[in-house]
Amino acid sequence: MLQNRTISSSLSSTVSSDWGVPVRRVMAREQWNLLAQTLRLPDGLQSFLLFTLAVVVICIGLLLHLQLSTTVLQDRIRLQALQLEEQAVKEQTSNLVWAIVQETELNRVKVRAIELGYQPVFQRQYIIVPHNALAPDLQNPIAQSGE
Amino acid sequence: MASLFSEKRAESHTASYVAATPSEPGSEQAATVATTEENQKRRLWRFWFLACLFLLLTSLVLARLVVYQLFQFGELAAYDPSQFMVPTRGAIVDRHGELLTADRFLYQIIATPNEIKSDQARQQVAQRLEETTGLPATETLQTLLDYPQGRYAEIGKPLDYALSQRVKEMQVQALAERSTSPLRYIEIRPIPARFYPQNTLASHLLGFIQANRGGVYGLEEYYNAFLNARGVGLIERASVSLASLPAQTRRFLPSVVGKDLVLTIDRSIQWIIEEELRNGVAKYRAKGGTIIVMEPKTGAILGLANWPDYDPNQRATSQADFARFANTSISAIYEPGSVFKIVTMAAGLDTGVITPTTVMTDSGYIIVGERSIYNSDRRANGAVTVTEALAKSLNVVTAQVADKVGRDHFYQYVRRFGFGERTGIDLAGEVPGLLKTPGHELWSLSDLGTNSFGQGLAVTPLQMVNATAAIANQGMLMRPYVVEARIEGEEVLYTQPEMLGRAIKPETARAMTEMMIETVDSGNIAARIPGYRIAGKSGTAQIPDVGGYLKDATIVTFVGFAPADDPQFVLLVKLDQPDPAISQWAAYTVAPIFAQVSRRLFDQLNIAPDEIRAQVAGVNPATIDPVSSAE
Repeated sequence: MLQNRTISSSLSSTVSSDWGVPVRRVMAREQWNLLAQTLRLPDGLQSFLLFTLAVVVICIGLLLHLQLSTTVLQDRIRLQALQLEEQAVKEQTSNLVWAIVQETELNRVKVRAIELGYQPVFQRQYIIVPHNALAPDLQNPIAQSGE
Repeated sequence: MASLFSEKRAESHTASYVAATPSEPGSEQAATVATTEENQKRRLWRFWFLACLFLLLTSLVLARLVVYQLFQFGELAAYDPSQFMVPTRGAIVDRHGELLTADRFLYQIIATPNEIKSDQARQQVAQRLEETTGLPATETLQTLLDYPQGRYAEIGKPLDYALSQRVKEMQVQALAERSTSPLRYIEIRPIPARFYPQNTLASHLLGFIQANRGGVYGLEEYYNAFLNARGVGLIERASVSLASLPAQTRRFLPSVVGKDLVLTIDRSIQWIIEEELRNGVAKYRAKGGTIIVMEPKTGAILGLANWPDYDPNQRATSQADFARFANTSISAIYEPGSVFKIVTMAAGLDTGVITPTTVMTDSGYIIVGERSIYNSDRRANGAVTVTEALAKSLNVVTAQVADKVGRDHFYQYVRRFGFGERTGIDLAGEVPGLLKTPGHELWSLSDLGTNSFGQGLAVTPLQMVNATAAIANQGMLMRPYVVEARIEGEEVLYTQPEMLGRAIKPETARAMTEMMIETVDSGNIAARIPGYRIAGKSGTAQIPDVGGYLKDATIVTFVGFAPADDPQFVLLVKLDQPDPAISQWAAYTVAPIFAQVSRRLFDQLNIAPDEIRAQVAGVNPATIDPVSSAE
């Protein structure tokens, strides 16, 4: 700031007001030049190239970091969207399960069975079927032998 | 760029110039000025080069940011963490896959009252919600006005899925018509809710969860850490694939949480015993009761019911009656009375001091220690075999047997049958019972006499049924269990039946079984079922009180197993304080209930009568085909 003020005061004292616009351009360019001179860039070509390379590497690093961060963020968001979808499916599933189970609750089944005319069966009688005579031969199922 | 890379040339020029004219001061000054200008130019070029490069790279970064912020804004904004709900709990199914409990989702309407500022806006929100859900507009208005500066207010009670969808559709429609509609400050948030679809069925087994979603009582408490979505998983590595479970059992598994329990309980058996218990309690005007059905060979519990029960879904309304929540099968102790005689007789047989035909003299009373012991009917029966003594439930003979066994051996056998310690069942709230043994400051010799017929000690119904199961299982005492398998995702960990120890020798178990069959055939005839041999024993116990026993108040128990030759189930029926005006004796109250439950269990488990099973013993058992007599 001290240097800037010094420059502008010295310029204003030497340049007349009629040359306003070009002078301002010159002043701006002068300021940039001064800034360029103030920044101590390496003098040697090799060191300057190294410096440039470092700047480029840092910038590329920043870009990569940004790119990776956003990719991770995007993936995370996609994942969360999928989780939301999964959540919705879970909600629907549990709702369906609830509905099914409500219908198969035993008291309800009993009421429905009575409505349909079923009666509880007590005192079963067991008979012995000799040698499983009527059972189909599993080696030659009926469906196949009929074809 | 020429200036940028002209450094070497300028440097060499300067060097040669300095070497050629070391002694000319004017020329030296001009050369220095030229070098300085050259350097300045070069620095400028380099500066501008770097500036441009930096600008270019920065532009790339900015361009990416612009793309994310402006063009992909919608995608990012779609994420709303509030839509993720609190952790849920796994499901519990019976051995056939019937759902006993699971989480479902309810939907809470959430409002942001401080954004709904005008009366007109509040009115609009309340009106639309009333039209959609039936929630009174006055209630919504009141909630919004109660918290005018609040950011969060719950409107009404949680809705079911269908209603919540209607609210969402209404909201979308309202916002499509006018994007500034106050309905944009309404949100539907899913909240998990535990539901027990079988209502009161197996309520004491299942337990329930509190507002913080922690389990209390029963399986919900015992397996709290496992059932919780964020809880522990299967630690052991003995798990197998979920496909190993029958397809029917897997109908609802794995649940949305993927951490579930498959029980040993059979829903139909549970329903049968609850119905019969309810009927029995009503018929004999008892204050409560218990029925337990157990598989003797494994220790698996097929059904466990207590009365009074409760509906875990309506738990909030029955908060005042905490006593209903306790599983009295495992957490309430009582003097078992004469059912305990089977333990004394088993000890006598196993030690060899008696055989089933040993004759003993019943003089009507016996003095053990400082106490006189009488039979329940105060009569003397003279010479009787121990089998007859068990059938007639003679206290005097039983005390004599205990005396013959000796105090140390007697209590050794009592321990072997699992009394005085927890069975280790996987249910919360089990107690060990009360057992005074020699060496205890309150134990005296008279305790040996009274303990022999089930007085002066306290057991849980589960301990009693487990001890009987040991007789049915060739003398091996198993650890009772309720969970058949634990499921985590696609893996299943089966519970392996665990033998706690051998209570008695197999031949003793067979002899005891015969004695118990005789008890049913000649003593507890109300427990008989035509066609089946049943082994059992009844017990009527008085209820201890301060300084004695309650008058006209008994606890009646019947415990037995069937079919006696190949026990498929052990059944205990217990009633608390049946009305003495009807009967206070086990033989006339719980014995008929035992028979009724057994009859239904034979049908349910498809157990053919003894004769049929004997006929098919040498043939393929699959040839037994049940046909209905009603047809």
